[in-house]
Amino acid sequence: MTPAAMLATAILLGAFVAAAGAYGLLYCAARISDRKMLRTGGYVSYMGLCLITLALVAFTPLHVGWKVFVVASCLIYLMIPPVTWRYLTRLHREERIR
Amino acid sequence: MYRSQRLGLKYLTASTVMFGAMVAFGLLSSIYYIWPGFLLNVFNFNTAKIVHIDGLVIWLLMGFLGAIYWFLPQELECEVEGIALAEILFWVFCAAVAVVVAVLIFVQYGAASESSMWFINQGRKYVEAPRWAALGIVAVMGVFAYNVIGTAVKARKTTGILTVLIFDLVPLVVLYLDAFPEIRNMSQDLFWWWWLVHLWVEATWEVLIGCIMAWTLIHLVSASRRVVESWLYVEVAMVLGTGILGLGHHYFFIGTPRYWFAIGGFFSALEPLPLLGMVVHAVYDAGSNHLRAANRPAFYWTLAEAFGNFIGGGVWGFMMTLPQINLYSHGTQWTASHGHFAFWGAYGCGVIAVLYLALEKSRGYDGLDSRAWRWSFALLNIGMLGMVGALLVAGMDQAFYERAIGGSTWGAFLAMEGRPWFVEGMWTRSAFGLLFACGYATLVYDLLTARRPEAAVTESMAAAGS
Repeated sequence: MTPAAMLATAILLGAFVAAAGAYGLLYCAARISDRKMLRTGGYVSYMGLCLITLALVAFTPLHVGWKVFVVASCLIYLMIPPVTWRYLTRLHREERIR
Repeated sequence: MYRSQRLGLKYLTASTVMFGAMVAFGLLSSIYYIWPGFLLNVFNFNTAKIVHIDGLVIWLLMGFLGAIYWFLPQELECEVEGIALAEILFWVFCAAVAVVVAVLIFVQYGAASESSMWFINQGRKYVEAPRWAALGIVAVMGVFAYNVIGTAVKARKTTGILTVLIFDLVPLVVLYLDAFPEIRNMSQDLFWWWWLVHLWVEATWEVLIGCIMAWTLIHLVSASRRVVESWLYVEVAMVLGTGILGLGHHYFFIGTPRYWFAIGGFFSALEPLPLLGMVVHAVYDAGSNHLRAANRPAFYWTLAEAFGNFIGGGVWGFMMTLPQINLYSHGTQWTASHGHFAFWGAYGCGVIAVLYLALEKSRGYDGLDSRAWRWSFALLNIGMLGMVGALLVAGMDQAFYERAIGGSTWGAFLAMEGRPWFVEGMWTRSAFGLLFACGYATLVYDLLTARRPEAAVTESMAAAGS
């Protein structure tokens, strides 16, 4: 790994989690306020996450195992906000019924 | 108010004082990076750094103890068992901290002997307190465990949050015993030492703050206990699932077998996943309450906790957790940047949220609001963002030039000290550190003068009228 590749890889890894966070935040904000702009922002963030994943896979010297892990994480990050949201909504609904 | 809650307030006050000491010694430590000869042979950098980091551990620990002594009697609707002993130990704890700080300032170090370890400095990073004081911490934690478990037994009752807390007390007390052994092989020593440092911070403390934030949400926004407890179980399972073996990211390049590269990298790379779940939960709760709560400072500090934990721990951590990157980033200012951000987000913000919650209830107010808390919130968070940003730039410069290009030689280290990005990074860190210190001063001012919301509104209307 060259010094430049090390730095680029690290920045991409940080951006990877930041994009996942932005997607989660905007997804939830869109669910609360029902604003189209926020929903679009969430999709754009996730697209950003996919592009970062692509860059990590195609251009960084990470071992293939880590690249598979990054791709799998990208897919898991897609599911976390909706699954968590559904779980929280169900919990609150059950609580209201009780 | 229960006696235990009065004790909780004392712990929270002591915690705030230690927070100030930590900030002061942090500022002092930052000066050495700008003027390397500063206070040379009078008060060396290593001692200032010890007081700064140990001050961090103590202010958070005192904050956690204060929070639990505050919530516990409310949870079980009875006085805490053994409260008299806990009150005595509070003063012993404070006196011991004062003596240890005085010894570290005025004596600093001694000969490489048993007596130095007993009375000056145990010499283990982050738990440098002399052995007698470390034994004192074991006693305090032992009594704390007795208080919690004894109260649950006395009340013949437990709750989901309390059960999680009781299970967490076992590693909380037992792992601290790792501060004592003298192991002469450095690899073996580091192997076990990380059990104390990592498993306390990234496992038992995470669970502890999870329990504290669960109680905070119940009291702050009247969150449903069942919802909060269900979510706590999920989060604890995920945090422990990733955090325990995430320990492996400290085992890179310290003489441990190679399989730790895969284990440490994999599990620590999973650590952002539960943190994202926490962000979703925070946004859900904030949305349900329309970003409104009677106690606005506590509410906003709770939100800051969720986001700070994700960014400081998740984003900053993932940047440098894979072994290929960690080889170069380890031990640079990059690590310091991650450490500052993660501790602030995960624990610091949470303790401040509890401070405001306890303040509101202890003064008999129904809600809190003022201009000062907004200033302190902004100054502390901007100060922290500026510090970690500056440290990140300086650390990346270090990893690039000193480590990757320079090969970590002594010459590369010395050359690094003069590089513009590193030097400017250190100046910027100190400037934002000063801003953070102003935020701390504003926080203390607000805690001393905090008022209920209607009083603040009346005053601002009067000001607008005049």
